[in-house]
Amino acid sequence: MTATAIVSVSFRDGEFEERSLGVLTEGARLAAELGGTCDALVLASREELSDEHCATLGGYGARRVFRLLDSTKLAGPLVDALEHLVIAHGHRLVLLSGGVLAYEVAGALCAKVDAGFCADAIGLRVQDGHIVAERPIFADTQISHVRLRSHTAVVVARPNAFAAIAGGGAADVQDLEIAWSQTTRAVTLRSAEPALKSPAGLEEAEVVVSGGRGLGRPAGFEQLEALARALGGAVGATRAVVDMGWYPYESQVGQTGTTVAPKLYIAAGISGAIQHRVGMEKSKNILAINSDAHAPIFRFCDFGVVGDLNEIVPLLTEALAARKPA
Amino acid sequence: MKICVLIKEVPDASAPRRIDPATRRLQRGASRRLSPYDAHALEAALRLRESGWTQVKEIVAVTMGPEAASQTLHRAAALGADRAVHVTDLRLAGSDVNGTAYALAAALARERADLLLTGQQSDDGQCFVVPAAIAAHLGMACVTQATRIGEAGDRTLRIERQGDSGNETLDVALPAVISVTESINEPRYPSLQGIVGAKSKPREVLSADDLKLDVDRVGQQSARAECFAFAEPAERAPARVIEDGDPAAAVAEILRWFESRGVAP
Repeated sequence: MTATAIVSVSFRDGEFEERSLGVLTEGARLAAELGGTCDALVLASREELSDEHCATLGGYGARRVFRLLDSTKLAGPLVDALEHLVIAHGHRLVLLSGGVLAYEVAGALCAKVDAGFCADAIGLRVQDGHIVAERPIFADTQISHVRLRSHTAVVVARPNAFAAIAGGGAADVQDLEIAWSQTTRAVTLRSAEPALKSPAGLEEAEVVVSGGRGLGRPAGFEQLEALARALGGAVGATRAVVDMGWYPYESQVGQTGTTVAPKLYIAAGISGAIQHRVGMEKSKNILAINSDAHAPIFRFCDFGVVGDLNEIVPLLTEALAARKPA
Repeated sequence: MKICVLIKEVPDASAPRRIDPATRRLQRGASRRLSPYDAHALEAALRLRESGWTQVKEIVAVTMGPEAASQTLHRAAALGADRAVHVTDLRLAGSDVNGTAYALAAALARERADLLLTGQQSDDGQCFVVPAAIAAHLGMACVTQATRIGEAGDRTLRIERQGDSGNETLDVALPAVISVTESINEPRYPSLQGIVGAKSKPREVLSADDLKLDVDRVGQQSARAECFAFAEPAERAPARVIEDGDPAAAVAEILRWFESRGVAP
């Protein structure tokens, strides 16, 4: 059988990323639907990732694992390797799990192997011989079905869209050493500040109170901290405000950052960009407070209040404190 | 240094978005504007010129789109771009990201810029991949989602960004394509002088033939990715949204909702 799909799997801090194992599970399923097998590509040195550990990807459906010997986690080596592998083996599908690196790799690869592309996919199937990807659009109010008409399709999956299902089996492990292209050599990582683990509780908290740009200023987080205290919860933030330095990275909820699914999620001053949504949409109850009645967040919350959060949040905190038995 | 900035005219996001059933493409709509992400890229170019640590000889705004998109190039000129390049041809309509990157790369190849700045994504298609695809076509290095652009030596930029696992600092040798996030800067408004001066700035209009494009690689017919159907998603039950404007009443409603869901003390 020929290899019909290849999945880029992220390995970080001694483990495979859960969301890329989900993508590998889906890639293996689709490879079988295309009548072939699934390969995996992982960027890691032998010291970081042993043969035995590498072979466990077989449990998620990989027949072969290519270990790309490089410890810098940049897009260039992955692009060079995927171009080499896709040309050598003729994969029909290259599948990656969403993130900064994945989109950088996908864009370059599309140009290099003349591939059709779908971003943010939540479903895949084969229809009339073509790979079809499902992509939510317009703040997830519609699902677009995208037919990929090139020989090779490149698809970036929405984080956590696919569940990792472990079975049995070990994969063959092959080391891949290739000469980096000039553009790969042109980018060097000077320093990476490792992401701090989310502060005690953000992932486990039953209540998460998150803030976005609508807070208006960094000090706006103080009132969210007070509300979180009143509810016994943790504080989260959107990427936009983390990028602006209003709140620390370890509190970021979303595609990059932490994925949460608390009993109650309060989104204060958050418009509901897709990058944020994928990190919190599995919450059981979502309350949104935003001054813009047209903000996308109102389409995927359970209860929405259009109003000034600077008035509502302190009042809510006060009311909760008053109800609490002393 | 010569900088090109990619800009795109997109439907105004405050207007409802619809798919045209005939073309299965986004309806262009009457109200259109510069993609807000690209405003940050243009601003980054202007600030590089003003910073003084590198001599920026020219800033060229480049777009692909229908004739009417010249409005957006005009805005870029009013903001401070020195020159504009408009790739426009009916045969390019409906291009997917693959065809778009191919056509734009052909126009950019003529410019031989040291630096190409773009927004992190377009406000309409939101695919995130065009910058990296153009870089691959042109053999330029690429770093996306920059939150800061600084100097790292001769023909090398130091880029800060939020990577997948934390903050990263990267050095990239020119020529390079850099996409920027919204947090990199606050875009300026055009000055009166800028608006008046924009009319006299040069603008070049290029067709598919001018760029010697292989027309089998562009346009809706040749799109490698084709949206052929649309469906309703499995949604959460529609939210109850209150808009009465009285904060105290809103808080009372929130507390009642907390109780009904069993989520508050």
